[in-house]
Amino acid sequence: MIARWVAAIALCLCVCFGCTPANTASAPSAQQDAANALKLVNDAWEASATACAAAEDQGLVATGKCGPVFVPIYDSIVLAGNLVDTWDAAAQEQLPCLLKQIMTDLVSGEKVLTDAKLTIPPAVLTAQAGIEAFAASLCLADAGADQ
Amino acid sequence: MTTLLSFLGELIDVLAPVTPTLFQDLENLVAQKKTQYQPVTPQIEQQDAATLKALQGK
Repeated sequence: MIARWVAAIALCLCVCFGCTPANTASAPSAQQDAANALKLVNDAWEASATACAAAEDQGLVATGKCGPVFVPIYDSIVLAGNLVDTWDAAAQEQLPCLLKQIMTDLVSGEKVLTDAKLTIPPAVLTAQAGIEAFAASLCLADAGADQ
Repeated sequence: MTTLLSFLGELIDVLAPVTPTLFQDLENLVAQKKTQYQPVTPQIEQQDAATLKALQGK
C-alpha cells in the first residue's frame, strides 16, 4: 500500500512540478520564423550552387568559377544558422540584415549562371520574396549604412 | 503479471481524481515536444555537405 502511494505521489510531483512544460509559449515562434527564413535562403543557395557545379561539369561554366562565388555565401549561411540557434538579443538584432546581405550576395552570384545562359533557380526568387517579407521591418541598417 | 496488473489498477484508482490534470499536462508536453525548436545549423550542414564538396572539389 505504501509503495502504491509513493508511486502515485512521485507521479503527481512529476506532473505538477518536474514534468510540467515551462511557460515558453511565445519565445520559440519568432525563432522558428527566423529558422524558416534561413531555410529559404539555404534552399536557394543549394539550388544555385548545385546548378553551378553541374554547369562546370558540363563545361558551360569555367572550372573553378563556382567555388569562390558560392562557398563564402555558404559560410555566411552557417553564421546565420548559429545566430538563429543562439537567438539571444545580439543574434536577433544581427540576423535580419545578415539574411538580406546573404540574399544580395546570392543574387549577385547568379551572374555566373546567367552569363552561361542558364536560368536562375526558382528557389532564389522564392527566397528573395521570403527574406524581403521577413527582414523588411527588422533590418534597421538599410538607410545607406554598410554592413 | 497478475500482481502488476492489480497494482496498476489500484494506481489508476488512486490517480483517478487527478487524471484530468494529468492528461492535460501530458497533452501540453506532447504539444510542446512537437513544436520544440530544432537547431537549424546541423540541418544546413547536413543538407549542403554534398554540394559544398562538389564546389570545393574543383
